[in-house]
Amino acid sequence: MNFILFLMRIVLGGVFVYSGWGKLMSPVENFKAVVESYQFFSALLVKPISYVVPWLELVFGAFVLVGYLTRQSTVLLALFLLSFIVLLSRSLLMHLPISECGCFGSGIVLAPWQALVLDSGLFLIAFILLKRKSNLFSLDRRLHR
Amino acid sequence: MDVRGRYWVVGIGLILFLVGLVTSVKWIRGNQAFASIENVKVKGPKDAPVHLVIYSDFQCPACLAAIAPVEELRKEFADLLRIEFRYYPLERPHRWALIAAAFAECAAEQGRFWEFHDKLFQEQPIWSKSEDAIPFFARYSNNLNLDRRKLEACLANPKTMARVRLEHSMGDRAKVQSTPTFFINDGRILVGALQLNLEGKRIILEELRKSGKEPPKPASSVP
Repeated sequence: MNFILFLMRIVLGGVFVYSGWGKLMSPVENFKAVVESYQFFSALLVKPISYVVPWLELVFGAFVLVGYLTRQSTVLLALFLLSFIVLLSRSLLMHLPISECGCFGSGIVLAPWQALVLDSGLFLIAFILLKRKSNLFSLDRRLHR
Repeated sequence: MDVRGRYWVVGIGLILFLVGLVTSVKWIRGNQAFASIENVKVKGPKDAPVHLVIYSDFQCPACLAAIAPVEELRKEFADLLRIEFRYYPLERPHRWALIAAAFAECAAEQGRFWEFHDKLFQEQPIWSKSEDAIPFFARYSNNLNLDRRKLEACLANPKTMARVRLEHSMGDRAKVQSTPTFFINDGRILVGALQLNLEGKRIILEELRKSGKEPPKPASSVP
């Protein structure tokens, strides 16, 4: 079971690292346009969100990947996933003209409904990780020695 | 060192490592948006101080929405602005985008790119929903009196599609992800009509100031 939890941690952290990295490797305006396309945030918030979110995804994704402050980082990623799920569901219900979710920068292209499925799966993983402690190959285990 | 101290050191180390990695990879990759290309579709003088490059897709509704703000900028800045169109057809969501670009490229070969461009965008809501858009493109070519034989030869020539794909790959290298994406003077990037509306004019004025050119004076209503 511990090994399965370890794999889950790798998947969760890995997806966020990939997602943050993809956005950071592109001009910030690309992600800014993605945030704008969801028509949810005020113009004042769009800029800080598009600058900060990719870094948070990368840093906390990496934290989960290496098992550093695993619990706290997983909570933060779960909150991210929850907000993504809400935004994607809203865009689908409102039939917003969004052909791709913009989740991975110039990497994998997903339609909003596909991203919704992925995020729901990741949220389930985050939930399991929070319920069952996973410290196999983690920095947390090392740092507590 | 106690546990708390070890956590601080490792955490700061991890963050510094990630920041360093992202910064150095971005620096190495650089911005390649303005790789030179011979076959350009341009409006405005070559020596204009401000260059606006548009990566666009004829079947994308957002690109249609961006036509008006681009035209406003062109009117306002006239000879100070050079506009260059580059193909970035998004083939997956837009079934006819690639073939539309090929037709436009063949119109460009006969010196009628902008007329064809305007027609494609004007009629976009009609042909983009049709089962077969090619007869529409053929009709637009006819209406513009394009030489039919040359057009057919151009469409059959693999170099035409290669030129479209070359521009698309230039867009990929410049990190274009969606259309329309605008590059102003090798670096300033705007994505979508909304960003162009909000920031386009300000950036162009900044670029004019940098180049030492006078921005056009607003037309006064009282003589």
